Amino acid sequence: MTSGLKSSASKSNFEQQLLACLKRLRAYASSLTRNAAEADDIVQQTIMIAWERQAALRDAEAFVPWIMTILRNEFFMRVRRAGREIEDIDGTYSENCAVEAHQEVATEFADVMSALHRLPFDQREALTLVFVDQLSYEDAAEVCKCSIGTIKSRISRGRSRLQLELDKNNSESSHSAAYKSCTDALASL
Amino acid sequence: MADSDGSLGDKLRQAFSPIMDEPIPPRFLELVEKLADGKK
Repeated sequence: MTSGLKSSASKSNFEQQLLACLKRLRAYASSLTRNAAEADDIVQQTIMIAWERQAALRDAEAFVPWIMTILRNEFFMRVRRAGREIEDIDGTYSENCAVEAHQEVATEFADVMSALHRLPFDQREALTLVFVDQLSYEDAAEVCKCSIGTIKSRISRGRSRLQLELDKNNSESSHSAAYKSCTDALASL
Repeated sequence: MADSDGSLGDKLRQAFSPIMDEPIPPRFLELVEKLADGKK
């Protein structure tokens, strides 16, 4: 129970860092999986793994990329176990997820989330780590096991593609509105 | 932060506001407390 939680003074530094990072872990897992329930399962597993391995964390300042890496590894392990495909360059899987995204994120920002979900995995991951989880390029590169230049490139391409997706959404919305206006006008004749 | 310019980043952050702005689900807080207490 939250009411029974210890005061922050009695918590270890590791525990405090873990609690402070939970929302960012959920955001990252949500972006990787595009499924809220699966994301939370991965976060739960990540918490347990990180707790067991906390002695391996040499530099407390590296906590965030360290635990994000654990989460990422857990995600990939589940994908391999399930025999699923990670790469979704053509967006086929993402298109199928678009409806789910709209249903799950019942906010005015559902279109942005839906557009993000249609991006290729590597771009979606880089955008989430840098813009949402506020990691530096260096830390994002460490988590994704790639160079800083690669992260910058993924961010650049991801931003362009996200904007395109959003423009496409807006265009489709305005076409739908125009179509409805025409059919309403015809119906009233 | 590596990149905070432009409205696209703001839109992305806002899209995640259901996660980032709302309380952490109790299941995670309880799990951390159990681990800290050595119950897990």
